[in-house]
Amino acid sequence: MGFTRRDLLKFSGGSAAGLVFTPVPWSLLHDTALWSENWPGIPQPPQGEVRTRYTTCTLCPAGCGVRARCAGDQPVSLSGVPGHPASRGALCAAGLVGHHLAFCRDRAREPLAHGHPVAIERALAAVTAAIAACGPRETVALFDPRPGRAASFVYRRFLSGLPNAVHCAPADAQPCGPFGVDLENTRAILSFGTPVLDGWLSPGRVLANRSHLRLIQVEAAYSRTASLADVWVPVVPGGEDAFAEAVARALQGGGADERAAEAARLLLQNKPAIALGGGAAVAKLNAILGSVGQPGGFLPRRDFTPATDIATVPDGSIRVLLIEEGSGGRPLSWDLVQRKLVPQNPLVVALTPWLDGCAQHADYIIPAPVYLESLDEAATPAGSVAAGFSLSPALLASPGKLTPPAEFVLRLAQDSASYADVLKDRVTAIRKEGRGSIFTYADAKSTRVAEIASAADLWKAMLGGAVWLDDRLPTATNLRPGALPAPESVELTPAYPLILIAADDPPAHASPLMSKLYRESGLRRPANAAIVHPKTGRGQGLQDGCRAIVSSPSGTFTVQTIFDPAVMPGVIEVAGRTPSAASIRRA
Amino acid sequence: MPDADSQLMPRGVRRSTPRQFLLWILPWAALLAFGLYGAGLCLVKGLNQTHMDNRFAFGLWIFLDLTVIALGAGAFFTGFLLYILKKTELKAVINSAVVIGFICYSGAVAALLVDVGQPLRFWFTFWHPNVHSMLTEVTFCITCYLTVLLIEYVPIVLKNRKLRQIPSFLVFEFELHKLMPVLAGVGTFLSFFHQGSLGGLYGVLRGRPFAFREGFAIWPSTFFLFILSAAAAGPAFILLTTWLVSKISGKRLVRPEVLPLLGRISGILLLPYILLKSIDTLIWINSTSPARGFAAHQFYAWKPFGAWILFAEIVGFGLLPALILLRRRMRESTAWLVFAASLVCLGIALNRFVLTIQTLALPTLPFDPFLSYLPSWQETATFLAVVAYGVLVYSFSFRYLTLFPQEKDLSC
Amino acid sequence: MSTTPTETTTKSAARPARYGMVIDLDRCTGCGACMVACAVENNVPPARPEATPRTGITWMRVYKISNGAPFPDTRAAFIPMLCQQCGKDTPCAAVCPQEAVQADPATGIVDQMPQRCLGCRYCMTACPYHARYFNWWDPQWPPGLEKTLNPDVAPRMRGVVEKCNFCHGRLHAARARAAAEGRRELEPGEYVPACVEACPARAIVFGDLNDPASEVARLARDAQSFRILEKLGTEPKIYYRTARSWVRQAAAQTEKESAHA
Repeated sequence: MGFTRRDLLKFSGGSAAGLVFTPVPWSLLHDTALWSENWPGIPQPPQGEVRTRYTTCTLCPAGCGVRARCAGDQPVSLSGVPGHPASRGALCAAGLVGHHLAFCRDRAREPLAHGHPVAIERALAAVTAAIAACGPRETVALFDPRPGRAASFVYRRFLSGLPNAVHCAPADAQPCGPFGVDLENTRAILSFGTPVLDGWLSPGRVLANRSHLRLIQVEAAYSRTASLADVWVPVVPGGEDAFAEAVARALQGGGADERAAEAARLLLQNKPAIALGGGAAVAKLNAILGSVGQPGGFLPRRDFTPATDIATVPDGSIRVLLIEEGSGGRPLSWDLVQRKLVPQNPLVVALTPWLDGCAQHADYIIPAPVYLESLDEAATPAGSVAAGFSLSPALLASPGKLTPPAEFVLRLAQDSASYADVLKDRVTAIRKEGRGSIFTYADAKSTRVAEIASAADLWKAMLGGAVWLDDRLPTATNLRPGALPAPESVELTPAYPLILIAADDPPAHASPLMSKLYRESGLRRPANAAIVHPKTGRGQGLQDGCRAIVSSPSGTFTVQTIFDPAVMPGVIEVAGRTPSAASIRRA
Repeated sequence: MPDADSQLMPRGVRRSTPRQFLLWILPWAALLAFGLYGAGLCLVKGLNQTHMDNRFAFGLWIFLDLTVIALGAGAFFTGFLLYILKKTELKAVINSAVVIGFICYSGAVAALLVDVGQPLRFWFTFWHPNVHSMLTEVTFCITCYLTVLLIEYVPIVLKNRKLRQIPSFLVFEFELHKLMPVLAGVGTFLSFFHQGSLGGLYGVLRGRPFAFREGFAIWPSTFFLFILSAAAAGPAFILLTTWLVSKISGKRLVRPEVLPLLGRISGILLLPYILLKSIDTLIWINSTSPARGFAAHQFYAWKPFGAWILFAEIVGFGLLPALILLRRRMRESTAWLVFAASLVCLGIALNRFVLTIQTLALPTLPFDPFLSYLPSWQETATFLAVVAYGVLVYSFSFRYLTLFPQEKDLSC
Repeated sequence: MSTTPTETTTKSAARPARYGMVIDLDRCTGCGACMVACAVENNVPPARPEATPRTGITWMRVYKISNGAPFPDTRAAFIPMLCQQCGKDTPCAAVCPQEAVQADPATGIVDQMPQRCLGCRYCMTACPYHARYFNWWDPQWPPGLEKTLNPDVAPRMRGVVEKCNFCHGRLHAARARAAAEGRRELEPGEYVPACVEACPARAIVFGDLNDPASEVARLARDAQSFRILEKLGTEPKIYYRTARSWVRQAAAQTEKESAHA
């Protein structure tokens, strides 16, 4: 009698029951799993054949060899080069994520004048005009983060053509002058603030030798090196000289306080021993220890680019300052730089990949390529007992409008050569001198330079990833390691009764992986952390974890307090700060 | 003049006016809406909306789930006592117990769906079950038992004055009622296992010496302790809710001897539970924990979870209410009954808290600190949504269904 | 110490491998190169700005401990913690309701399948080493950084648990390479997890614990080597070694004075 409601219900019920026996509902259910694996912004990994390419790391003066695993043209992971004479096949944490730097924020993408895009010719003209307008006691300075490169010679050649010019470099760039350290035979190190275990030379080399070294760390901060050293001697900034002299006295049999006597004992029992650090007292120590020109000590090498520590330039004397900022490493302290500039109309040009750092204060920003974006070089690996050189071939495409700093200076000098030409000339000179050998990364083989057929072959070999090391010099020498100035002491006042010093400084630019991973595990403190001894903190009315304001003669800033009973009482450790007197109060 | 609303109510009982009822419902509905918003945030934005983290992987919600499932155990236990052991006095509260059980289990399942990182994959446990995992057992059993509760709830709904006028519903309900003993048996069997497995969840954690227990075959002692404590808590919770509903509605819902009976049942189960728990704790202190390299006392050295919490759980919230509930004189006083029942329920909650929260707060690695956790507002909102949902379902059930068959006689 | 720190022994087809590590705590300087290399290899996303130290993902995580001495005698040590690849009654494998955790009997590697994980986090409560990490957010890479992802490893979606798997993608790649060359066994050093390869101090030795001739097996048997939470009985395959008794005390002993109040 027609299709009733009951029939409809029966049909629906039957269909539903029957559907269960078909694949339809199960397939749909199964698909929900696929939906759960999708999310907005699923990344597309790089496509392409997986290849191995080689380059050299330029993030710090250690010059470690880099083996890059590339998918297509994109490096996806970096590792060390086994057998590399300077790096022993290792890379530090920053080197392992060097290929992320190109994608970090705050990239300078085009030449800027006070924040506005400008043609590079304008900047060149401005610098030339400012140089011409220099007064009799005004200098042109160039800050070079990695002296000793072919680029450094370009700078020096340019500066030597000017009446008053100075080539500056960081104090710790070539702390030992024309010397390398024979770490393989050293048995004890008395270090005055040198971060031996945390950014000194290449980690592969230092840590390969750690087990046969006794390490005495003398510094104010409870740095990573201090926490891992065999002995930590905490001294206030400026007290290093006194301690060095005390150790010298103890070494010569004279009386000294207990700590100096203990240090002297360690040095005498573990020879050869060296002292690392600045100041005449340290130099004297090395003379007493007999560490210059001896195995296990400082050995002379051929190349050396004498550069001036910018801190020693007279205040208020720099009229034109060109700052090259590297891809990695610690930024130049603007407080320090500002003191050195002339009060009226200084011109500051930042040759940098980054918009922060010194670029914030610069009149002109000339964007530089970042590590791996353009052909670069590494000078003698830090601490090497023989002069060296390596190329850092590009692994990434360089975005347009970038200028390598050396090329900017070449254009200033009205030289039509390119940076690559300069590097080729360097390689040609090496081939011509015929000394030393190259270690090629791909096959871990060493070849004498004299056996290489031509400069073009040498160039090709170095472009494929290689490091050239000179022959070693005879050890006897009249030279002495450069005497850098000792750290300045800090004057305490009733208003500023505490000492502000730098804690382990993180690099200015790092892969977001590195900064976050470190903070999550607590391996590095956040940039705004102030670490104080609990007694000091409580004495200033602070609590562990509270927000606080640190005041010093150069300004105030907000911090997050962390109590740590390991740090020296009376001291505030904050990353990236120059030592000064300070006070701290609760925010 | 009978209106549509009063037509739905059971015969012979008074209920509040629609306006009064609306005033009662609205705040709970608002709370539910707010809670659903919090839960929605967690589902859409991810579990970063909570304050759970890699160390506190379980938080408020798991504590909530374990507690409400223990308290909802009254459903199965009352069913067992009524249909299997034939304690017919409990007919007075069985419907209410079923509704409460349904609320507790459905709320717990809803909270679980928000708690997991990938709710769409809920069916993976059924597709790739792991026979060694207590959580697989819990999932299967709770799903089955929720179905059982639903089937037990349906006849109560179908007995509604209006609905039973539909013949097919009446017949269906009648047939279903014949199945009640079978359902009760199945429910008891399932509940036995999942209440136990919830305890087993923690007892098998060999990586957490605070929670780990030896036991019988594959079942740690917490398996059995959880069953016993749930069986003790169930009647106490029914006692509490009956009294509460009676107070809020201002009506007498059960005869005077029902609540003391529930209290006595609770007490009878609580005492052996406390005894067994004490023995288990002593074994744990002297043997199980030290064998795994942890002296038991060091767990209680962390503030605020000192040894007081152990004594509170066993003595204050365990032995004390058991002794109260076992004395007839005290059972006859409603005040003592309610007090003791509250202690029992709180004690069960404390026991679940200790196992879920304290276990995770205590460090296992020697160089780890003690950890703390406070739920975020989204988590608390979700928890309150479950509570509001429960109140709403119960309120509607109380208004339109016969939850307390004795009410009609008592209201004359 | 061996100058080739990574040794995979030649494995006979009959005997299963038991890959493990020996980590020298006297060599570790807490530089975190292992953490970074692991994140690069396994496409671990950088954590969101709002992530805390307890909601980030660190398959390899280096902990810092101190000898508790007052200034100036405080000394630090660093303990790299990763999945210990428990060999007996693996806690996480036993409790996963979906069998998303598989302990491979041929290699001993405890593997995690994020595609099957429900996100119930039961395994995370079970793990005494806190080696398992949950994706509290959808992974997000800063613009451009997704170009640097490893194409061999799938990124995980939110709501699932992940953990160290001894870079077993590298094991498969090594086996594929060996098979392409007609070999059935792997050469020493052919299969190395990223952290082992990256450590500048050569603090991690990796290899087959079942091969008595391997460096890792020899070091594991040494008196200075110990395992963390050994008494729990899960037979972890990560050994630690140190000559400093205070480090051993801090890392291995669990029955200590609970002075924390």
